[in-house]
Amino acid sequence: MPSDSFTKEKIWQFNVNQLHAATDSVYHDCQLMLWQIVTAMTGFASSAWVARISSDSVAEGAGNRWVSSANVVWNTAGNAHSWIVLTNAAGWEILFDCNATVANCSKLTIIFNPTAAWDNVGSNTAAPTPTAGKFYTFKTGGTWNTYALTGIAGGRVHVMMTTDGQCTRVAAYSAGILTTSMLFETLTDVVAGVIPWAVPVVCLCNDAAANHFTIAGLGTTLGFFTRYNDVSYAGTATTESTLVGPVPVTQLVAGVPNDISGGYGGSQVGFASTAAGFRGRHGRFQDMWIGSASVTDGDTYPKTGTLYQFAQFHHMITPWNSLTPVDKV
Amino acid sequence: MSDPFVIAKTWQFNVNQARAAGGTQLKDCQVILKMIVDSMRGFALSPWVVRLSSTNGLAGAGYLWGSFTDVVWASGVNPHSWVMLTNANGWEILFDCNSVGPAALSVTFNPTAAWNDTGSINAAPTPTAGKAYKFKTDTWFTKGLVAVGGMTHAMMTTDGQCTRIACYADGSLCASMLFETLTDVVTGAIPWALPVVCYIGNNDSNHFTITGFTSIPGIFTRYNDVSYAGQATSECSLVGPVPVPHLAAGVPNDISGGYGGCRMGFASTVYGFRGCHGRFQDMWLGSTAITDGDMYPAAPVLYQFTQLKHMITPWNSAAALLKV
Repeated sequence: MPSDSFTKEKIWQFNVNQLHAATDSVYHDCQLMLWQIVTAMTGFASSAWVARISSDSVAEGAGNRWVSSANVVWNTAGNAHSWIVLTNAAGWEILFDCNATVANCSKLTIIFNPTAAWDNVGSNTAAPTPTAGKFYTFKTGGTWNTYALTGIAGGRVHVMMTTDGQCTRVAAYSAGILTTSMLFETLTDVVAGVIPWAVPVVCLCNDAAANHFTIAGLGTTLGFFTRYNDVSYAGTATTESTLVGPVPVTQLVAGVPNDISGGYGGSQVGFASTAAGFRGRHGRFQDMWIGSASVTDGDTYPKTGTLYQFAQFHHMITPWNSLTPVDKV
Repeated sequence: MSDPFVIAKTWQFNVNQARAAGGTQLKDCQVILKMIVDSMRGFALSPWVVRLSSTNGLAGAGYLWGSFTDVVWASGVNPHSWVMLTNANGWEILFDCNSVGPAALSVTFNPTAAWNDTGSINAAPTPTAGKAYKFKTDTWFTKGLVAVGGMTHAMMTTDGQCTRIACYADGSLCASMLFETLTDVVTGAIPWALPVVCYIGNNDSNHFTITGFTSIPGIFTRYNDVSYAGQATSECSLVGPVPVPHLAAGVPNDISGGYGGCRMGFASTVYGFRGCHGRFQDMWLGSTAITDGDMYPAAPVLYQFTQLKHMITPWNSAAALLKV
């Protein structure tokens, strides 16, 4: 239900407004941005992600070998390149694998492994192989950063995470444009089934400039990935809409706020799938709302009282740090 | 969305009230409208009370509809029947049989209970300007001319905030009414004094259907002394888009095994009232694959909810919904 005074369910922590200075090349910018994202994810005070194993392209080893952005090296599988396995407080793991050419540094392979089961520890030429039947590769050499479109430019990296580690959100800007968007989200109000959904986590890494936290990107049926009953599948975000059309209620009349509240508001976001075997609604995102398309990317809520409690990234509203506006450049 | 559904209110039920075929459409309408009014009056807690009424031969205080023959339709200033019901919250509804045919009705919702007069057998009371809204001046009964028997169902919350009417004739839904107090109402500089919306289906394809809930005018309300129409909302996919319960036509949720439902809201595109306003209480949008009148859940306590066309509403937990 749209609300202008959003109510948070979780406690959030913020590594946001991190300046990302322009470097001398797109490649160095990509290195810096991914390093900043990982450093932010591992830098939270509570339930931080922990780098369990990693490769800096020179060697594989325990812990975080990404000491600086120079340790984030792209190259194709079989050649020396970087990767990192991050472990969450809940025991899930994410693999970022830079297994693409330098020219394709906007590409990544990302694997979400809810059981943290891997067949090996990898090497400096190959990332670890997840145990069959337990993980999902939701980005295989796909675009994680549409930055290349903007050329060499500085920007900002924002990473937000709940203190219990259930939800991690990444938004990175280059030249004032949102170029990277990632979500690692534990759903709530999950539909109960005969077979329990052991880890109701959905992951998203948008791959096109038009998709970053937009209706198109959140709504595409190949946007979110998850896994239920040991099968991976894709799903889509949902929200409150008119019944015919349908149109999200926060975008019902373009360009104008709610006439009663005077604000643009937002509607809670759910998750559903049309994939055979997983059809129907599965649950709801926590502390996430769909906002008006008329709101400028990076605007914050509310407009009175304690400012900056929430920020809107394209069409998605998420908790913000209550201290500062969203910096985009 | 919930599967199973979670009830927010306490409900009471005057349901499964059988009605024999009247022999004519007029008698069917007379009997059904009186059954509706009697049902609304008959709840144990917070019942509607008839404050004024007319039988066409007599107008005055209290409930004058002693039998169905007291429900008489006539147009203009010709003697006809009407009844004014007062709610525990002080709102009033006027059912006015001021048309030639019995399938049409004028219905006025008056949140302030302010009227200019007490009416007569020739004219129903006139609501004070700027306070009421006449949201129905056409068809309320859609069964046509064939006289048939059926069932009348009235459900109301114990606090009187929500009243729902569903009437079946020959097994099909032929009359549908909602008088609903919304919750989670959007706050504004001018408070929405009485966030009540009213709905009456006016053709066979509109009774509690997506079409009926969406058509403009479909659902009426009043804010800041202005009446306007709105429409129901529910959870939909972002791209497509499709209401979530209809996402995969004809199949239940693959995880839960059930059809489930999504909560419903209310929004308007009318200038001055644009945007979402609030949420219906204990109302869900169900799958189009469900047969009208099906019940939820299958176990362990049956009949807690029923689906009337596309709308899921609490049911009495005691007996299946009967349609004939």
